[in-house]
Amino acid sequence: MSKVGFPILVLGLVLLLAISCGGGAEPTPAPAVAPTATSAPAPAPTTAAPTATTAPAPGSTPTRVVATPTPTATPIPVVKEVRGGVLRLSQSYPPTHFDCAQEFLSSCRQVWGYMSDGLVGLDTRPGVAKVDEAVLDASFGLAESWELLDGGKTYIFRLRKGVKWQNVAPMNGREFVADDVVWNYQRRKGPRAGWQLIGHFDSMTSVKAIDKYTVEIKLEAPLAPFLTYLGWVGNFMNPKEAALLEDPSTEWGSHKRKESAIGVGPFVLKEFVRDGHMIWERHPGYWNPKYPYLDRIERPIIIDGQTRIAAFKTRQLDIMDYTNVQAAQSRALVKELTPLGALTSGVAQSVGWHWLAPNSAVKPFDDKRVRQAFRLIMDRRDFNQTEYQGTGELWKPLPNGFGHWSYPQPEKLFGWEVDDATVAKNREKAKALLAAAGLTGPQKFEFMINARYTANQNQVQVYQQQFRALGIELVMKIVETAVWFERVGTHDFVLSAGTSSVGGAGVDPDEYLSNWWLIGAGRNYGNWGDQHSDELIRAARWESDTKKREALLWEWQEYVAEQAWAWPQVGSESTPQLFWPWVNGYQAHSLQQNDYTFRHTWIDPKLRK
Amino acid sequence: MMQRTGYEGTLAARLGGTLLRRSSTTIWHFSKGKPLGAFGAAVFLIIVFAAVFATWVAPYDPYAITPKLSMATPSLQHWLGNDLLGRDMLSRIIHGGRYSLVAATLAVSIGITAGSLLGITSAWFGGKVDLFFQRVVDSMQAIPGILLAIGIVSVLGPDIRNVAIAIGISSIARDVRITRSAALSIKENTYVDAAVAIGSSTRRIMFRHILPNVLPVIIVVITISFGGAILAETSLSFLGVGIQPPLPSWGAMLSGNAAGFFQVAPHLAIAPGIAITAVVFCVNVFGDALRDVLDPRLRGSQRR
Repeated sequence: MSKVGFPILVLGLVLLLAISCGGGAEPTPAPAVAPTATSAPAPAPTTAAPTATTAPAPGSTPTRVVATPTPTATPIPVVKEVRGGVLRLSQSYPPTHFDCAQEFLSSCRQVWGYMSDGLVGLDTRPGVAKVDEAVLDASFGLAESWELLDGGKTYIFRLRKGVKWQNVAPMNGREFVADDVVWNYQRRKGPRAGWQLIGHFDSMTSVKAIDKYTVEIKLEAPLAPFLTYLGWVGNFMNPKEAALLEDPSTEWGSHKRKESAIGVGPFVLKEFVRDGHMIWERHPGYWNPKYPYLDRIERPIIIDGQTRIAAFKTRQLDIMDYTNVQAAQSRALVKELTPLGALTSGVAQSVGWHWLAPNSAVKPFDDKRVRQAFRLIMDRRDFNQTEYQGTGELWKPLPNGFGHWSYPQPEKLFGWEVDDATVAKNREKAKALLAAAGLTGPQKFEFMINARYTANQNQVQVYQQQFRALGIELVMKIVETAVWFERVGTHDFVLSAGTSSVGGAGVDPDEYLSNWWLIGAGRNYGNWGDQHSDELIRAARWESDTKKREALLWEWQEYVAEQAWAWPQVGSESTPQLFWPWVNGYQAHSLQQNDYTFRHTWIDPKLRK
Repeated sequence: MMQRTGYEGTLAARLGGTLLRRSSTTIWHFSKGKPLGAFGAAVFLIIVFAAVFATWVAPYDPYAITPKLSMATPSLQHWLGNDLLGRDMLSRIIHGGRYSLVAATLAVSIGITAGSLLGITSAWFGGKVDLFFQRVVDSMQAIPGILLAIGIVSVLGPDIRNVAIAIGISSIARDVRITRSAALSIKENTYVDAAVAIGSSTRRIMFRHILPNVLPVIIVVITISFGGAILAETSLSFLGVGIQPPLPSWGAMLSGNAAGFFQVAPHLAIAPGIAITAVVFCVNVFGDALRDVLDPRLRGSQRR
């Protein structure tokens, strides 16, 4: 063989070896860009919004309601707050930008929660609000009063005078006026508004400044949780001039950079080191001279849950954040640290959304009988036992975190696992349903799982065993997060599982229903729902009478459970929040303190060592 | 079929007996001279045995989920406890050995086969051929092995075969360098010149004269690479791009739930951790001992 021929032969052989080994490999879909809203680390279930019942119900009054400042409707324990001090708590993930009105991120809304204020305020002081609940109170918002006209379709807000933007260029301490409100709300309804805000402002037909301190908002129909939405941190005021300075190409501008993170709130963002830390300092010109008590908030960015535990134990952090910490571990931590003086401030209930669902538009899951059969085969108690050691909550279509909106008699819902006997009967029914739908003999289905969530992988492994007993093979296909979002976003799956936060104003179900369940909604990944379901959701969002709204939401839950479009899973149990005793005026109502503004929080220097 | 004569049968028995005797003697001498290496080899063989016969050796079905035993600590029934889904840890580790060992064997085979062929070819032909192969190797070595492997698995998809290919490809560069350097020195021997002089073909010289003499080096590279390949497989599985659940991979067992529940159920991480450490340690000490025995230079230094 020639000297040239042989090396080519060898090279060819090696290439052949590699190709023959890899040739049959199934190509992984090219990673796609994830929707921005969800490319952020998924927060643990949140949230701190007022219940609809605490907000003035638009239609519950005949024509006109006047809200006036009511500083403390509920007695507050007398305490001597101490000014000054530094609060240290970790940040799980740094914000990648500050424009949560356009691209929603939980880490982004935390920033605005400290820096700015909403048109209406939520009073989250301990002793005033229950856990996971906040009281709507004009004395904490930028509007000192508001009126409702036309049966709840028109709002007139009167702004507080003398409110100033923080003294940072280009705002330079300018007065906050009605035009700021108009620009902010129009921007949130604008073409680039983040999908979470669609449900907040989609019924707003106009917003205009009547004069420098008066704003009029007109709605298409009365929206029960509208005031709740206005008080939520994600809708706090953003600075127009700073946005336009950053991006003058459109009337909406941009808040991507730290330089445009300027608010009217109690704290000024001083430092932002990506993957390092964030530091806020007191806003000396804050409109409410009583607040804040703290001089400074420091948030080191600690992604790893174990590192965060270590930092809290060694008192480098004042408040524990449970992100990326398993429920069993958080329980162990409470048990370990409570005797050492760490306090718990109540519990936060989960309103996250763990789902396991088919794409209802593809065969065989376009057949209700198949969807029902799958739901009947599942015994979620096994997953509850493995993931939460039996302490989790079997979810209804609206889990318990939604309070009274959640269906009160779960055992009456379709497929509910009351006991072993019920599960056995359910499975017999499932067999009959599958046979009636023509699915006889061994079946095989692919479950697409997001690689980020170990819990979803555990969940499907539990169900693999349950389904195998009935001759159904569930094959797990684990894909990268970006691929997962791309595929669920385009309905390119048969079965999938996901874990998501239902959004900021989570205690009121409207946002979740609008974004996830209406036909064509941005996160209606599995083509869930039908006209009747949509009618119930719309009727509930426009119904201002609490009892009637409750009935509509319960009816919706019965209906979707029976249709089995998605199979709600198991949520973590309520998690006690830990903080050291020198932290006062803090009440946890969110697993991540996402929506907590810390304006009432103060540090007792005598107790801090 | 041709029947064996009595003489042939006796000869075969004699040869077999001689081979057995010689093997026993070699093992005895090896064990005496390199007790740690022999210990490593013995433990490794036990692990291999358990993995090969996992179906019979493992006390439970490694996939059987028992929710009530979620994170149960070691007991008489379950020696290494149970994982988050209540599966028996010992059974999963025994079965997991299969995947780790298969992945490592495949990876080392791919790496050493391609590496030896390219290394010997590069050394023998020299000149532009050598220059070309070595620059390719340079460019491969510029990318960290684990990153290269992650990239390959991302393209091919995460399963055991692709993991093995990825690890194998990422080790080719190193194997080429080692075999080339050994082949370069062997190429200069007079018996190679003699083979050229009598008109032996290139293929014959490479496979009958150079390859057998590079073999001791290759054997040592195999043993050393094996431990590395197991670690690479566990690393890929740990990162979530290796063997996928519910298959019981040691690396996957170490990540995910084990990491999340480490403070409340440390046995979830400790058991697979020990398995990985044990097999890598055993393979490495065996490889070291083998290198000492097969490398004449080290043999000399040992006498001193």
